[in-house]
Amino acid sequence: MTEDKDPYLAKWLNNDLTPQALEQFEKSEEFDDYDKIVKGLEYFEAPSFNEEASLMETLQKLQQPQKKGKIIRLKPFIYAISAAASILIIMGLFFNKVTHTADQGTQLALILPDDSRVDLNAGSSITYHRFFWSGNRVVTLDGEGLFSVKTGENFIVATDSGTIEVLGTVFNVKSRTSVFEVTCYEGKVRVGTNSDEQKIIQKGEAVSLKNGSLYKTQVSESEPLWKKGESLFISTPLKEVLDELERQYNITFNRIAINENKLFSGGFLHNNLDIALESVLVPMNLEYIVNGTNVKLSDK
Amino acid sequence: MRTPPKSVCEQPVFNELFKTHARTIRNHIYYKCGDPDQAEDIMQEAFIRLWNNCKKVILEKARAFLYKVSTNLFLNQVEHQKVRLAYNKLSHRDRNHESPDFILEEKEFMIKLQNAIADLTEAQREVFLLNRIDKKTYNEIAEMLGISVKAVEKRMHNALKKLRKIIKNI
Repeated sequence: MTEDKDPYLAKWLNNDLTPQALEQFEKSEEFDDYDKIVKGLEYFEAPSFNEEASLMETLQKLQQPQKKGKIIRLKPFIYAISAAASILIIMGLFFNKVTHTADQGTQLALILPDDSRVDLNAGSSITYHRFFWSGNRVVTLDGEGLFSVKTGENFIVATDSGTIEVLGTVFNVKSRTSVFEVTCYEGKVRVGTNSDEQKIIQKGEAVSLKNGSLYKTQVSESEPLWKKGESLFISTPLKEVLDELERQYNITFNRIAINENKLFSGGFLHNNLDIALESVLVPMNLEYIVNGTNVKLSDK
Repeated sequence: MRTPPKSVCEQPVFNELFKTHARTIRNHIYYKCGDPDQAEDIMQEAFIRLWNNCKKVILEKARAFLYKVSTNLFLNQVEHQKVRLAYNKLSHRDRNHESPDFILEEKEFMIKLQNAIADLTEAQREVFLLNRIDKKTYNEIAEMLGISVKAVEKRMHNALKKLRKIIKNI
């Protein structure tokens, strides 16, 4: 028999030999050698192996981070975001603006980057560029503020109603919803409206915007009354007076039952709410009920 | 009523696989490299890879995956080293009744056998020992190694023949 086609030893080991083939094989001279080898093999063992311990070890290895060098993938998406963020930050440095706000019932004194001084009245805010200040002295004002400008390049106060251009001076700008008023206490300022009307005012002069044009008036004070803790009104609609009261004292009027268009002449102090309410509301013949920060108004 | 197929990702299933196959795989690698520690490392690494790929390997394929991975790991590791095999010394179970002469003769024979096994080719040795020591059937071995049953039989036949030749010094 040829061994390639009939691996009889394998069949013998597997008890697969036919009885005749087995008998023939057992008679052969090699049989004893093979038998001895196979019996001797029974005394061999693989090294001892503890399944439980090995499993525990494997599970422990699973807990640990892989020893192999971790593949750190390039993250193009994240890099793109980083690049975009960097550009935004740089853009932000150029166009970054600072806003200061004096809340209702407070006033705020600020020094601008060029050492110009701004006093903000209650309920007002200014905004200016954080960088490149010296070549671009533009301040956006919403509300009322007293400016003491250091001499230098053009200094511009921009408001909703118009712009004020100066060359070092002290002036007050009042830019409320329906009021635009500039008072000059020192130097010279040029006031321009959105309709391109311009007026230059000097120390002791003031302009106010009425019906779309500027009217010049004289002032005798050396600083605005709000700086002394007073508000003064001459033939002013009651609405504006109440707005100012709300700003100075951080209160809210319930105005449903009254006529806000009546004109008011007079003033109030900023340091005592009761007196302030009395000095405005009593002459106007109004009754009021104070409830916390809410004040309800009604005609007498 | 169909129960969802068991996933290798479930810890009890994984543990069961380990208990069923760990010893065979460890021994198989040991028959190739002769270093029990290295064999166990490779076997454990194969199971770790099975766990890390548990979502991709269905339970029915887990055994084949383990055999394949452990063999590949072995090939990667021992590319540069040849290991001289050393097998367990003769164990003396129920041998006490034999005469001292016989024991000496037996001992010599066992050493010869041990050396002969070491001289088998790797392909012969892994098949032969998986069958003789781990009692794996030819079918199981064929599946493990990815070869035909006929090839297994041929290796068995040639292995035994070679052992006799070496021992007899033919």
